[in-house]
Amino acid sequence: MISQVRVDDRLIHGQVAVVWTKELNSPLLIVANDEAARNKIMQMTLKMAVPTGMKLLIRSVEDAIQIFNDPRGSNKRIFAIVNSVSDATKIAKNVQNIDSINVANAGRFDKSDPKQKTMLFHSVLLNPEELTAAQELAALPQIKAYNQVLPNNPRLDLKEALSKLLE
Amino acid sequence: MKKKFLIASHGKLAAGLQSSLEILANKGKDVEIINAYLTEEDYTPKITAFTTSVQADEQGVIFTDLFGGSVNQKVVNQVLAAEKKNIFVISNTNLAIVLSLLLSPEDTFTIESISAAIRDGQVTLVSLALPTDKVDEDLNEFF
Repeated sequence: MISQVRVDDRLIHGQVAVVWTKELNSPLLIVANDEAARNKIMQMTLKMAVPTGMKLLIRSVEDAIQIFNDPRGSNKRIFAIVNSVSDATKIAKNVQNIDSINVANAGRFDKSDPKQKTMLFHSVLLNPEELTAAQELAALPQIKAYNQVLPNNPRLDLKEALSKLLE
Repeated sequence: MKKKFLIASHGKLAAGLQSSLEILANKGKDVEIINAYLTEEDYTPKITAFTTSVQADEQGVIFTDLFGGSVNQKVVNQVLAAEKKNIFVISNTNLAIVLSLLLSPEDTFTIESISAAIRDGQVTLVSLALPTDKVDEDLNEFF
């Protein structure tokens, strides 16, 4: 099962490697990202960020979905990391057994026009496509989606935040 | 067991580490700091206040910036004068060791456990050679 799908525009970094891996007690880490799956330099830096004792796979989103559905993983705790809400939504639509989706940090490095972005949470800036993906994600009945940057921050519900935007 | 942490440095390194801890782990408030020599004020009483605050059923860890430096010397002097075995002093401090101990699930620090954390948090020369082998582990090995 997936203990958490984390949306983080820095993928694996200090908050993730040091803090969340401890919190979630998930020694299996999968980065689901098309760019990382073909970029050797990104793969090298991501590997540096992984704490000892943890296993890492770096796969395209499509390949990762197959792994998430692999029966061998059903009784293991897998921590999945993506860098956009769109990728998280794609995974949520195609994988059962996801405990929750944490839209933690997003949209700061996507190079799209800052004027087009909506701030949904403190460190979550969504361009129009990402905002649409967030709405689709929040509409999935089986998925618990929220924003929680660090374990000792409060969980802010995605659906609630989106409905506040419309007010 | 309750733990107390103090970082003491020449200038603002202690405040800088505290700022990083806050961003990384929301733990800035879990450390006390001494930024020494920014003013002429004697900072020894702040060290003493910390050592005094560590109760018998607690542990204290003091991080200093430079082994053998004056801040470290003052800290060692105060800890020895306080005659407390439950306070550890770490020097040549980096962010990795502070984070590691702040987030440690261990109930009780020992010389061994702290030494192991220090080994894991060493200053490192980063290899910039791209790996030639398969970059990630085989799927069979993963599960």
